[in-house]
Amino acid sequence: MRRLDSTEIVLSRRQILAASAAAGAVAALPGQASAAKEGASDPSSLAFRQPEHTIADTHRVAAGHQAQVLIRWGDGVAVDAPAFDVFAQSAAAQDRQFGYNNDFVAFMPLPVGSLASEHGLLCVNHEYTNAELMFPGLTLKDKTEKLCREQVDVEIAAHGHSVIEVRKNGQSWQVVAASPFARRLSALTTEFQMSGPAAGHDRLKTKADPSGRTVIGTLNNCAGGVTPWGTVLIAEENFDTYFSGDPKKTPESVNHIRLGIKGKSRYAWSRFHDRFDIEKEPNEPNRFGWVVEFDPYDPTSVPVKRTALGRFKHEAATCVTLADGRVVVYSGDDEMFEYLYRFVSRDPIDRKNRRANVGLLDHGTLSVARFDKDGTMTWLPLVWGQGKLTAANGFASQADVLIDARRAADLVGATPMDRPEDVETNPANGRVYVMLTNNSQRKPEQVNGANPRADNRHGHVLELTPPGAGKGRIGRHDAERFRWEILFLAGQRADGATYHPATDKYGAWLSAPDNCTFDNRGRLWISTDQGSNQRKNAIPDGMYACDVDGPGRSLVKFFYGVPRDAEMCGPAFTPDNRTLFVAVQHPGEDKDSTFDRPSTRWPDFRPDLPPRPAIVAITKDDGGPVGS
Amino acid sequence: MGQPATEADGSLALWVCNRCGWVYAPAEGDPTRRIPPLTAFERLPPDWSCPSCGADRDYFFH
Repeated sequence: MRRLDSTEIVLSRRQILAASAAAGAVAALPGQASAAKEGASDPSSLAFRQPEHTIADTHRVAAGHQAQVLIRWGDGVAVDAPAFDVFAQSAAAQDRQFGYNNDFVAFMPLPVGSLASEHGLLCVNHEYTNAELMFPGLTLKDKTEKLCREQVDVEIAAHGHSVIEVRKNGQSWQVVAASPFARRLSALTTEFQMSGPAAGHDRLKTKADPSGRTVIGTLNNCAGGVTPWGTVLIAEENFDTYFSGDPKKTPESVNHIRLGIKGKSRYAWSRFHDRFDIEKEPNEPNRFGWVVEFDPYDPTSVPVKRTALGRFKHEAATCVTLADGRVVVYSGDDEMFEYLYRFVSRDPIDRKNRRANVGLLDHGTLSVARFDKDGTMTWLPLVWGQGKLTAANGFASQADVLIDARRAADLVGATPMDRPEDVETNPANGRVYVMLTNNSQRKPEQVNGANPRADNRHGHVLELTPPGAGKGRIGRHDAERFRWEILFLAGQRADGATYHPATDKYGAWLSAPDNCTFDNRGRLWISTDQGSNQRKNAIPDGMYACDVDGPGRSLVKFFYGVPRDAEMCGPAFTPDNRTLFVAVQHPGEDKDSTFDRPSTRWPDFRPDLPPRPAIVAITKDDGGPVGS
Repeated sequence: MGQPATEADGSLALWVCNRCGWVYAPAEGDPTRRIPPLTAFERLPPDWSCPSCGADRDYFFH
């Protein structure tokens, strides 16, 4: 999805098909391909042999594949990055090095607009930090009070994003040294601009920024997306967790409480930086929770927070281009009982001049989804002055609607979901797949068709069909109404899981679908994040894959397992599908795991090093498409 | 079980999940698990877990 979207403006359909053929993909439906397999009773088109479906200290991948660690926390990114010294880490060094907890990964081909699959930029989010694994002498319980100023600044610098240039030599990927594209966006030093209807609004102004248009840093960037003109979208998610202070002592109490700010933070940042104390800087949280756009091909570009896409806990932001050139962006609000959103741009993209699209995401309509039990869903516009979104309910302008998007969505009657995370459009059939991670809080009286389980511990995947979508047809993603169905409910059979029946024999169960992507054959690849339930469920997070069409629909297979206590993020194929990049986030994160006594020391396994989040490049031994 | 922890103003302490950042606010309790308002964190059932991420009580600090 990401690959096709990012390149479609410069490529004809014929070129894309040619690239798929070169990658060994077949034009036929996956189901047809598997049906042709002689003597096989496994209906899935995914023929790889699964690795052991157990938790282990190190990672593992399906037979016939290699998993290569490409870059780890602390490795150099900027040209002037100092060598990593875990016992003498400084904020200045971290600001130039690969950040912590890599999440979203985008492979952006070089040159821009090409289908290059052996040379490109990797754009990687750094969502959050685990101080107890980064610094000696801390535990989960005491870190917030023990951390010193320099350590806190290391944490802040370890948030944000990295751009690295990568090249494939034979089967092996390398980071290109001294690349002119190499760049860190950090929460400590990088300046971001605000744009769109809320930019410059009084509620975005602070003592440090009386304009309400300039913010230092981006926080908790989880997943993201790629625009059709080759920029990267990174999504600010759980920004509430960084702020301390009593919301009731601020003029923004309803807003702050709705977003989860209750007075105490798991981070120590407010001890050293007043802007993270809402009693001192009540508007600072309003400057986070946005979708950020930046151009990785221009290392001097200023990243911009696009307020037209609304403010909530954005898991991701993924694009589809309409037939008339307008762009649709889907985004889930990753929290229990929160909503699924869609933005439709007012203007079409300029296919000839990518730079002309710089303000495209500043104008358009944000909507939120209501799911009805008859199998239809309706997109409800969040437009100031319409319906209940008026001054009578505290909305003085569209800026208020966007800043308080959750409250606006409440009022228009959106359907509370089971943690909507990644939302991606399958380029092979035009359908939209929504990862609903879990919701253990849903009570029996709160279930609905699209969220049918009370105490939903394992999550599910929804499949949305816009009018006109189907094999080879992207459909009308701007339509008011779609149809929906459940692709599968996750968990084990005893939990009510609804995978393909043959999953029990040929596949594996999963829990907590989080991010996803598609290969060139339209097969769905899912990364999972069970959190601390990983130990309880006794299955590893990792990459899982299934057909979504044909006889193998919903037959889930296990492809790659993360090391102990990690989650899996960022799946990104190269255009030829011969490499799959994945992000191993927070290896060794457990309540008793510390720098000094971690639950794993992946990937270095050196007695003097803690575990390190890292990007892994997966290739096939025979050079063919991954998973083929 | 001793006295529950309190904030500087004497109110029952807020407890933070150190896995996901969710905050247990005693003033709200946990309606889904039928925990009434003004229940101290220390008085939550032993099998209570973070409503947001499922982490058990040991992940919480105040």
